[in-house]
Amino acid sequence: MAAVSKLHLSPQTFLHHLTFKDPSLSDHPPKLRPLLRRNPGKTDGILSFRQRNGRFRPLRHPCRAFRSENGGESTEKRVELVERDGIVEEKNRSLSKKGKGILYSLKSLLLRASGSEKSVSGEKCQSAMAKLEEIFFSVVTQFGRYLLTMTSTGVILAVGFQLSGGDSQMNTLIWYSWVGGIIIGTMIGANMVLEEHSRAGPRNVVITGSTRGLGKALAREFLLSGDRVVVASRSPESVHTTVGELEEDLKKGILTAGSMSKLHMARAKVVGIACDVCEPEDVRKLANFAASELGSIDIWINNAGTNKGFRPLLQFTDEDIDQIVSTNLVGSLICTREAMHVMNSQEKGGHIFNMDGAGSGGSSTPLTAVYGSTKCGLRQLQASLLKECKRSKVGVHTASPGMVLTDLLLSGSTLKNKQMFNIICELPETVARTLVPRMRVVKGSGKAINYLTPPRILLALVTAWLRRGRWFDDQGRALYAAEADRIRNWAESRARFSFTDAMEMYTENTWVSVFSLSVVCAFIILSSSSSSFPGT
Amino acid sequence: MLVLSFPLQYPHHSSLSPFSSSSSAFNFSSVLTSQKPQILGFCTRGIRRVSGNPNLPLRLQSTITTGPESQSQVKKREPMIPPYNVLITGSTKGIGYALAKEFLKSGDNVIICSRSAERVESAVQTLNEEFGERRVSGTVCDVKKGDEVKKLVTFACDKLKYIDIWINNAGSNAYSYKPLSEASDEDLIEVVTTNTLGLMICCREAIMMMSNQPRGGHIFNIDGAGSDGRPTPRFAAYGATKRSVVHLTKSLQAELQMQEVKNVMVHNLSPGMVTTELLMSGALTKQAKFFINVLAEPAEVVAKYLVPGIRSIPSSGSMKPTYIRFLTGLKAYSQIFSRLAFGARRNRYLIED
Repeated sequence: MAAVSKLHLSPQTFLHHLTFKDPSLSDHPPKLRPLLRRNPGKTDGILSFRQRNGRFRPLRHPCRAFRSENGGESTEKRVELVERDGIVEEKNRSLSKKGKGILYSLKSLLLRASGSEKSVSGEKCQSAMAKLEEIFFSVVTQFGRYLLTMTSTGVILAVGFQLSGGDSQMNTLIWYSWVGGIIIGTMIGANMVLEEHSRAGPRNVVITGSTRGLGKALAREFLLSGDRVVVASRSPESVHTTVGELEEDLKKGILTAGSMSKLHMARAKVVGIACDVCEPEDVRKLANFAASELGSIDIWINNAGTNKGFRPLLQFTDEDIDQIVSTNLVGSLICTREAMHVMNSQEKGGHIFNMDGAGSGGSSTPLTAVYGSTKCGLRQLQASLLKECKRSKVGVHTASPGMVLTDLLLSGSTLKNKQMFNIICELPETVARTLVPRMRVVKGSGKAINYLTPPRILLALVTAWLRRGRWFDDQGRALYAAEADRIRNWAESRARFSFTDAMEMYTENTWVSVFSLSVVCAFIILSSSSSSFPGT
Repeated sequence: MLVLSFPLQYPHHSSLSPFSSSSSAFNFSSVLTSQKPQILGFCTRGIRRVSGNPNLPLRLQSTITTGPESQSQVKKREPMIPPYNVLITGSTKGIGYALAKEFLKSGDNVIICSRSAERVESAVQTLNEEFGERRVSGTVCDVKKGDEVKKLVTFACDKLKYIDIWINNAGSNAYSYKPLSEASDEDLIEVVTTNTLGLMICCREAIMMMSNQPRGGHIFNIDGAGSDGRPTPRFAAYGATKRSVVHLTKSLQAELQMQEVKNVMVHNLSPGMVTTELLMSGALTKQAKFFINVLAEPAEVVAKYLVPGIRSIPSSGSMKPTYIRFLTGLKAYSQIFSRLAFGARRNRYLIED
């Protein structure tokens, strides 16, 4: 029965890892500590909040590192079967990715070692040696992990044998299930690796309305993932400056990045064009520009949207309403159509994302009646497009960023609103960081990529009292850093590869299948063990 | 799944969009004890009444320039008694024309309007011949254009002094049924601007006008295919705009309650499937023909059903939001059933293969 309790417990821990795998969530445990310490003497109001905010970013680092260790090394605590799949897969991936690098550096080292006798270049040799050592170390780590999982699956075997009580039939059953588990696990891992390998490489991304707010953050995130991005916005000047800024960010990113991501980022590039999404001509130009600059378009994000402040419909002028409707609805329609044209002519198709907003769900949005109803219409459009695109290569999806601290949201917000924002809002970079990996690996059609998932909302509600002074203080003044500072911290935290990032790459379905597989295995072992002990 | 809707204080992104089907409500107030609990009346599905609260932070009386509620509070509201003054947009053909006729039959005064001057003229002429002079008048109005709608309002004030019932009927799908990827720029823009932009401008003008009337008024927005959120392939743009109509109505109802406008109400009106030009132009596929034969009704029949329903609202004096449906779910299913079981309504309007 030891195996029973173990196997029942473990899926929970595993699930826990699944649901809370996102980076934005990982900053809560460390954040909790300073606040808790500070709370008793909370008389120093704003000052303490500021201080905490300053602290908040640097803390991200150890946190992520801690999580990656937790995900990778402490395998004994978790389910062996499940973990094995994960590790095998990770090992395979890392090997397949690093295979070329290892061989290459080994060769270069050997060459240099043989050459160093003729021309004394000890320094070069040393650096090559260090590199090789680093690679060797990572290989050994992977191998060690693999061994660890093997031994831990061995524990299951041993427990199974113990429970079977020497019944040879049971023993063979256990052996078979174990081998089957290994094979299936390896196959899943190999499948993921192969898929990842074949789908690797830069995506070509078009983002409308991407010179500020969430669009810009998305563009930056795609860029740092090694994709080629087309930035588009109404004003040519802002497009120009945004392209400049993003190139700067990319350069900084390459400087701080590790060797692998550096390789990726070398292929990244950003270009821009002025485009008013309400103008069909402009949109056609944008599509042609993207197709000619990048060759093809893989992902098109209809991010352009406008709101014009929060007030009753009576106070909106004709021009305001016209602009909101034409940007949000006409723009999305025309952009979707043009993107479909381009993608239908491509061999590998493409994916179109429409951005959700307030009202998408169908509940009323007083004070933003116009914006809300256009977003609600977009949701219906999505359903229709899904039917229309059933047999085509184009996937239509929605992306829901939840509430993001951008101009769209903050224009005309009151003090009370801002206190609400403290609880549920996020910085655009945080949201982009979650959305982009999912957008990159999206498959099929009709997927909804949401930032505010139920666990996140639950967490936000539970930790509401902790979040009171997060972005705005009592007077409604912004406490969060300016964009440039945020980006700098961001670049630092991006630099290291973490296990959570790797986990984010895979869709929930994969994890569900791995989990259900482990349940099946557990069931086999359980049923076999209980039948041998009818008394228990 | 949950719908968090923050009807008053936090209107921004009030629905956390992914969780559209509502089944549970969160009560935030227990979490946010530091704030005034009554502000945080979180409720499911929008239009709960929150306005009874005198110390709400986002109270809007001060910000409203037109000051409808202050006037309505000062002046005593006059009861609405028939005959009603009715304004119907896009009413020279189809369901709009049938509604106009039906209102005239009930003894009301009607203003009709449309984009084309000839059509308005001929419609006014035929209606005048049937129902006598002075009861009906018409003007040219393109609902997409703010100034034309304003002109329509002044025209209505000149002719009838006040409007009790304003029906936003003007809608278009550019008479084209094809996948979005084949739709033309002009069609898309026409559909969206007529159905959404036009409706919004009309609603704004109508609310502005009616809140200053002692009798108040009722606005009816006509929904259409897609307004329940179901997919509408081959007319995706039309469906999206009609979905937004229903949402706009909902938001406006919430807004009016927030502003404590007590004499104006916005309603939804669902004519179902009507055998007008708009619908018949899409009868190309077998499936479409089947559903048109089974579910559609001529405009006169629909109008005959809807008009008493519309007229009962001002006469009862209630200011509750309503959604008057001609084709209810039960009706639709029973008609489909009788078709499948007994072959009723086969080849009713269109020859099925």
